[in-house]
This record gives sequence, structure tokens and C-alpha cells, in this order.
Amino acid sequence: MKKVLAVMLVLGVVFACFAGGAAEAPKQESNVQAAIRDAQTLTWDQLLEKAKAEIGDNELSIYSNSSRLNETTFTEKTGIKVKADQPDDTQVYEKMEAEIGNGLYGADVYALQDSYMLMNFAIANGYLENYIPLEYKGSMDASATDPLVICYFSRLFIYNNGKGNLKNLITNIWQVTEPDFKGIEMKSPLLEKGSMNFLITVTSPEWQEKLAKAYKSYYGKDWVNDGKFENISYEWIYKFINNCTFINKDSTIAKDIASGAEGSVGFFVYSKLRSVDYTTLAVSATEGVEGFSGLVYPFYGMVAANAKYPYTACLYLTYLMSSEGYNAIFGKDMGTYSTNKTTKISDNAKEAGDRELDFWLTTTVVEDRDYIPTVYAQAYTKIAEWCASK
Amino acid sequence: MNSSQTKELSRSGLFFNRLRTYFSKPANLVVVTFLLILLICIVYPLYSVLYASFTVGKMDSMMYNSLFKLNLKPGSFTFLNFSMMIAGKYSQEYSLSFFWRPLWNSVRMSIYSSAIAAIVGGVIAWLITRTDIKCKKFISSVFVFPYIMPSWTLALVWKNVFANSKVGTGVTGMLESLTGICVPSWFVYGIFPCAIVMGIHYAPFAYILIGGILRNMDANLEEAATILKAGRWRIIRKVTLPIIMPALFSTLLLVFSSTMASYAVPVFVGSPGNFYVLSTMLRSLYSSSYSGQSYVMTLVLVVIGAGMLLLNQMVLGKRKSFTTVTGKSGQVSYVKLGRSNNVITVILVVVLFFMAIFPIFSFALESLCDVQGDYSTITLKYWISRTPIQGFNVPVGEGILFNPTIWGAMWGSLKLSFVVAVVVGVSGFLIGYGVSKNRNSKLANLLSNVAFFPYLIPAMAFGSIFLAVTSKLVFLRGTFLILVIVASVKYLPFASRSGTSAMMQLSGEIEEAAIIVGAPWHKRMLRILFPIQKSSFISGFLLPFVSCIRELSLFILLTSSGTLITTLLSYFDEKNVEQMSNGINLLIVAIVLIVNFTINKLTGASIDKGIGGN
Repeated sequence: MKKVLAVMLVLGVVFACFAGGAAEAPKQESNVQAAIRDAQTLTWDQLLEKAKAEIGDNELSIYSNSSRLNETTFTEKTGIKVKADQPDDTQVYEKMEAEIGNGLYGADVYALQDSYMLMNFAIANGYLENYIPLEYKGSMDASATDPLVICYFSRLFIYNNGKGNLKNLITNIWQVTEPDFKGIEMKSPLLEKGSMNFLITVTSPEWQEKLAKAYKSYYGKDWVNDGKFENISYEWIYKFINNCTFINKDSTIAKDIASGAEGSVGFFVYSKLRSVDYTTLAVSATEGVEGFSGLVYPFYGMVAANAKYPYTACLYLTYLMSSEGYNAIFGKDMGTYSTNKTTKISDNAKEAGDRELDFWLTTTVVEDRDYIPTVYAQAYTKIAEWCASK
Repeated sequence: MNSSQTKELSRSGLFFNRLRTYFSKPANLVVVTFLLILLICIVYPLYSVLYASFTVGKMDSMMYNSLFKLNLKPGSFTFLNFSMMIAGKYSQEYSLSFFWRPLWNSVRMSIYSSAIAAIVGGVIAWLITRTDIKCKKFISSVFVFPYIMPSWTLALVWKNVFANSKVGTGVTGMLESLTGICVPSWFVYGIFPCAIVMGIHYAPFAYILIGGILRNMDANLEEAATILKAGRWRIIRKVTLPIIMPALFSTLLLVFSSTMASYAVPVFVGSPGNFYVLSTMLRSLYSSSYSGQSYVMTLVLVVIGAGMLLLNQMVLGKRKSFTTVTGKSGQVSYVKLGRSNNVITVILVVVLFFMAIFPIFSFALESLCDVQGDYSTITLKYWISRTPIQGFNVPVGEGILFNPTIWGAMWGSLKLSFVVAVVVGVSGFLIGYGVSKNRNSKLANLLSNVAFFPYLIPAMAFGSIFLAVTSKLVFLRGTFLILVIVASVKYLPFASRSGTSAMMQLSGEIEEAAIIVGAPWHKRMLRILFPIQKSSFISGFLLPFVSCIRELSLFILLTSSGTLITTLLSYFDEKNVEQMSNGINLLIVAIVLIVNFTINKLTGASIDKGIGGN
């Protein structure tokens, strides 16, 4: 037994020497990276040809948070079959780690939310690769190209206006912290990453300043730090969370507000208005709110690092960025905004009171993927504690 | 050959002889075989939970490093998950909010709901099997409905009925619409509705287990007490209750454990009232950047369940025998309810109508409304449309009866539930046999406890653990086999408890008589033991079937949305296509009833008939 242990010890030392002393081999470009690099130089027709040759009669596999990718227009246009799975915000990253992390094929395309997890988990660990469609690069802001943002979604304060009886219910963001507004329905930030990222972004210096101005305008005096909260944003967040009722689905919130009492308020995705009778609903942002009126957050499209059909994945993302593809999948209703500047919101959305992306970028909090990681642990833990202690 | 070699040969010969003798008894072979299988299928998940509790994942390490200025690498051993969650390392309020208060809430909710389930289920089982109450067939048939339905659908019905203009956003529920009555907020959201809904959901479970024992109990015991002039309540306390103790305790144990791990009901009717339990916090942490803490919570749930198991062992250990089925006759004599029979029957029928029939009626109505809640828009299109239904943002396809996706998913669920029921039912029967024949052996006790362990692990966590297993065993990924394995292991506790309780009530003399006349083992099992306790064993098959066909959390990570009927139901519910989700709910209930009816016709046994409805 002693001899065996001694031999193992020696082998271990020898192994450690080699392991420590070995120089790191230079990283080679993978097949997927090479395919993406090539695809970024191709037109739609060239890419379509390569994609068809690559995929044959097989299916392109997509994982997405959004149910809207479960549709048929891409197949009708290209003849390429698609299988879209819809794991939730947590499962999609779990699958990513379990599959790509272990070299197993699961999906070719990942279409998802949550800037923090995308940047600090998915991209940081090399699970996803970026692709920028040649045809639409010129019509997008540089900030939306790496990683590729397909569109933005909005999450807003929406209230029951009693079929037009009530107007301008919320004119200042501090109102939603008042006792009169107790019972605002929203998805728990513990379950909805978008809401959590929103609250964390609100703690940034930019939004502290806007909250301070709104505070002065509403209360008629400057905000004073009495030591209870780290800054004005945390006070707003604490009071807002304590005014909220957490509901597990946006569609339930939309239904509750649409059929609820006049003056009831929800904080949910604008696009859910398509599922209810929205003639009883008013969007505070369009009436003007001092401070901010909600949140817009990006929806990203990426190629899996171990995609089986990388050219087809790039073709699919190009389709999503095109006006035709975007309108077929996202553009019919309110609450979604393409980052391709040539693609405008639909007439249907305009009729419902929606505005172009530029409006939302100036009136709402935009999920800040650069700021969030700098304070994530502290802000997340603090906000999570408040949510759990309601 | 010298004397030392002779001694060696003798020792080894003796060992093999003993081994051969040991395994010549079928009961011992059963115990060892199942113990090995279960240790493989259960030890790995438990090890995964332990490992994840004591290590940090990628996101955990980033969070802790930032929060506490550390340099932890992913996979490092640490107590931080525990100290954050339980010991207040970040702050006392964090621990109280995420762990201690939800733990207390979970324990309270589980105690109330298991008491409700045991009382309601036990009383109805006693009324059906021991009294001359009227409408037995209706009561016993209908009472299982709440267990067949997913628990969260019952929570939805509760909310639809009792929500009112004075609570939350002021949505008007059915009670306020019809009567103007507004119940207070604690009635709509909070511990009260959670306990009631879970109690109603598991009452049929209690009814099946306790009723199965009452049905087969030798009535001579109670008659002897009557002859000795013991009063009715004294007989119940001193004769009936002690005999049904194994079933009663198993019921309380299983319902308590199920409720502790329940997620959907607290989410629907708990969270809006700021009532949080361990499972809702577990889900929140699972979705968060602190997934390691979610495994700590899983471990806590497992430990609590193990504690319940130990308690059960201690109580049962005080009694040597719970034999109620012997070679003697079992003529049941009913308690006559007299003038109160009609009153009790009416009350029971009305209560059952609201518990069991009304939810189904609600599902049916909602599946017919073109505009949700507007009963003037009744249409059959969601059932019989042969062209794809428009007006939703996701493809819905044809009406339910002609929808290939729905029927494909239903077939997947039926196939899975059937295979799991057979695997689990047979295993439970055999485990019950092995454990009852080796009542005082350590191996048998270990088997009994190990077979129960999967029940203690929350379904969602269980599914996630097996997702990790499939990343190592690639051939299992996305297959039917992994679903069978996961479900069989998860639902084995039902069948093993049921099998063990049933076998413990069989006197040894029955099998001994068969051994004396030379009946081989398989004939003793199939021709004698199984038929005697048929109603309890059929429960061991039907319970996993029913549980599997309505299970969602266990499978959601392991399969795509179109594979099983519950994942499809969840998909339609998530996308607000409530007509389809309510219709599918109705379909699940209908299919289970048809299966129950078919088994009744083929074997004479069923969930309700085995208890006494005739």
C-alpha cells in the first residue's frame, strides 16, 4: 500500500511539472468561427446557397426565450426547416452550459434576453459567437451589432383608464412609490431577469440624477440622504418594490389590469396588449412621465459555438434583421422595435398608440450592459433581499 | 491438501453456502437487487445535490468574489452557499427572507394541508367502506378528480371564484359576480388558500391509501369490540385507528413531503399575498445568479423529508404487526347512519360538486369562450375546427379533437405513463414483498428508506439533476428512456409505500400454507398474494399513472414542449391561449377516467371501486 501511494505521489509531481511548464497552444479558429467570418461577407442569395448545401433536409435548431420564433415564414421563404424550442430565461443558459459546455449539439441559434448573463456567462465562456449581417450593418447603430441586437422590447407602466375616463394617471415616477399606488402588478425581479436588470440600471449615476430632478419636481424639495439608503435610486427601488404585487406571468397581469378596477396599474411588457381588450388600457409613457416611464431591453441573436449548421444560422439571423422577416415575426403588434432603422413599427402598433424606437430610447430606462456588471453582485443581492422580504 | 488449505476451503465453502441459502429466498433476492438498482439511481442525484451545495458554479463564483472580495474559482469547495442562506453572512434579513420565513411558511402550510387531506380523505374513506351512506358509487368515483387535475389548475379555479374588487387589481370573481360577496384578501391569497387547495388536491390520495386498508380490514375485530359493548367512538379510537396507522402515517408523510416541495399552488395563490415558501424561493434562486443556494434549499427539503421518514419509522417500530388480512373470513358490517344518512349524503355531494365537478365545468366553459370570461362568445371552434385557428401570436393549429400536435403529445404522455406505471407498480409490489418478509433486517429497512428518497427531492430539482446526467450519458439525451427512468425513480415511493403497507397486513400463514402444498414462488405471488390485496396493488399502478400523466416540473427540462401533453398545456397557458390549455386540462381528466373505466372492466379493480363504491 505504501509503495502504491509513493508511486502515485511521484507520478503526480511529474504530471504537475509538465502541466505547469507546458506552454499554452495558440487558439485556432473553429469551423463555426470560420463560417461566420465567411458569412459576414456574403449577400442573402450567396448565403442561402451555402446554407441549403450545408443543411440539406435537416432542421435548423433554435433556442429562444420568445415564442414568436415558433413560426413558419422562414421555412416558406427558404425551404429550410426550423425547430424552435422555448426554454425560459434560466433554462436557456443551463442548456447552453450543459450542451455547449460539454461539446454536445443542442441548437444552432440562440435568441435571448438578459444582457448580464449574455455578456458575463455566454460570451465570456465562449458558448456563443457573434454574427453581423452584411446587408444590414449599415442601417444599424454600432452598439447594436456586437453582440447582435435583433430588436428591443418595452416593459411599461400601463393602467386601466376606465375606457377613457382616466387620463394622465402617472405624471411623475415618484408617484408609483406612494400609498395610493399600492398593488402595482409586476413579475418578480427574482424571476424576471429583465425587471432585475432594469432596477440595477436605475442605480446608475445617470438615473440617480433624473430621479433627483423628478423628486424635486414632485415633492418640492431636494432629496436628502438620511443614511437609510445608499443613494436616491435605492430609495425609489425599495419603495416601488414594496408597492408591488408579484404575479408570475405578464399575460395574467395584462388580463388583470384590463378587466380590473379603474386606476389599477401594471408594469409589464407592452406586447402583451395584443392578448387583451386594450381599449381599457393607457400607456403612461405616451402621456408623459417625469423621470422615466419604463424600460426597453435588447433581444439578442447569436450563433452557438458548436453549431452544426453555422451558415444556416447566419441566414436565419439575417432574415430576422430584414424588414420582411422582422415584420412577419415581431412587427405585427406593439411593443417591439427593430434595430434595423429602415424597419418601422406596423400600422397596427401605431393605431394602438405605439411609437418608434427613438421615442422609447429617450423616455425609458435602457438596459445598460456596460454598467450592470460593475455593480451586479451588490445591487442584485440587495434588491433580491427586498423582494423576498415583502 | 494440508490442514490450512482445508480450513480455507471450508471457510470459502461456508461463505458460498450461506450466500446461496440467502439468495434462495426470493424475498432476499428482491431486496438486494432493488437496493443495488436504487442506489445507482438515487445516490448520484443525492451526490449531485450535495456537490452543488458545497461548491460554487460559474455565476456563484462571480457573485461571491464581487460581494466578499474573494478569488473563488468555479467548482471550489465552500460553505458560502450555506452561510449566505442560513447563517446571515450577507445580512440577517437576507437569511430571514430567503430561508427562515419561507421554511416556517412551508412547514405550516404542509401541516395544515396534510391534516386537511388526511381528515377529509380518511373520513370519506371510512364513510364509504364502513357505513351505509348513500350515493357511494358517485362519491367514490368523483372524489379522485381533484388528484387527477394538476394542482395549479385548482389554484386558478380558486382565484377565479374568490378574487374580488376589494383585493388586488379588483378583478371580479365568480362569487362577487353572482352574490356580491367580497371575501377578505387572506381568503384569496396567502396560507389559507394554499393549505385548502393542497389539502383538496391530496385528499383523494389519502382516501385511496386509507380506504384500501379499511376495505380489507377484518370486520371481526370491530364486531368483537361491539360484542364487548364498546361504544362507536371507542371502537374507532382503539381498534380502527391503530390498524390503519401505517396507511394514515404514510399519507401524512407523503402529503407533507409533497406539499413542502409544491411550487405551482404557492405561486398562484400564495405569492400575490406575499406568502412565500421554500419552493418559490428555491425557484427564484434557481433562476438567479445564486443557483448554489437553491441546492442548499433542495438539501434542506431532503433533510426534512428524511426526518419525516425517521419519525415514521419510530412510530411504526413500536408496533410489531399490523396484520388485518388473515386466512379467516372478512365480512364487513356497516355502521348504520340512520336519520343523518340523507343529511350527510347531501352535504358530501355538495362539497364534492365544488371540489371535483365545478373545476371541470370551469375548464370546459373556458375552453368554449372565444373571449376569455365573456360567456356570450361561446364557440366550439377550439374543439372541432379543422382549419388552423387564427388570432394568436403563436401557431395554435386545428381544434383540440383534430389537432395532430395535441394528439401526438397525448400519445407521448399515455405511453410514458403506462410504461412508468407498469415499471413502478411491479417494483412497488416486489419491494413491498421483500420488505415485509424481512421486516427486521437492516437491508430491508435500508431498501424501504432508499425507495422513498426520490420523493423528498423537488421535481424541478430532480429533472435538473437528470439533465446533468444526460450531459455525461449522451445516448440518453432527449430520449423516451430518460423520461421513463426519471419518472420511475420519482414515483417509486408511491408504489413502494402502498406495496409495503399492503404486504404488512398480510399474515405470513397465507403464504406458508401455499409453500406447504408446494406452490412455486411466482404462483404464490400471482395467484394468492396479489389477488388478496389487489385493490391496494392496483392503486400502486394507478397512482404513478395519474401522477405521471399530469406531471410538468419533472419533465420540463428534459423534453421539448410538444412531446408531452402537460408541456404542451403549459406552453398554451404561457402564450395566453387559455381556451386550448383549459381544453387540454379537460382532456387529461377525461383520459384518466377512461383508463380507470377500462381497468375496471378488464380487471374489476379501479381507483374508486377498490375502495368500495358499488
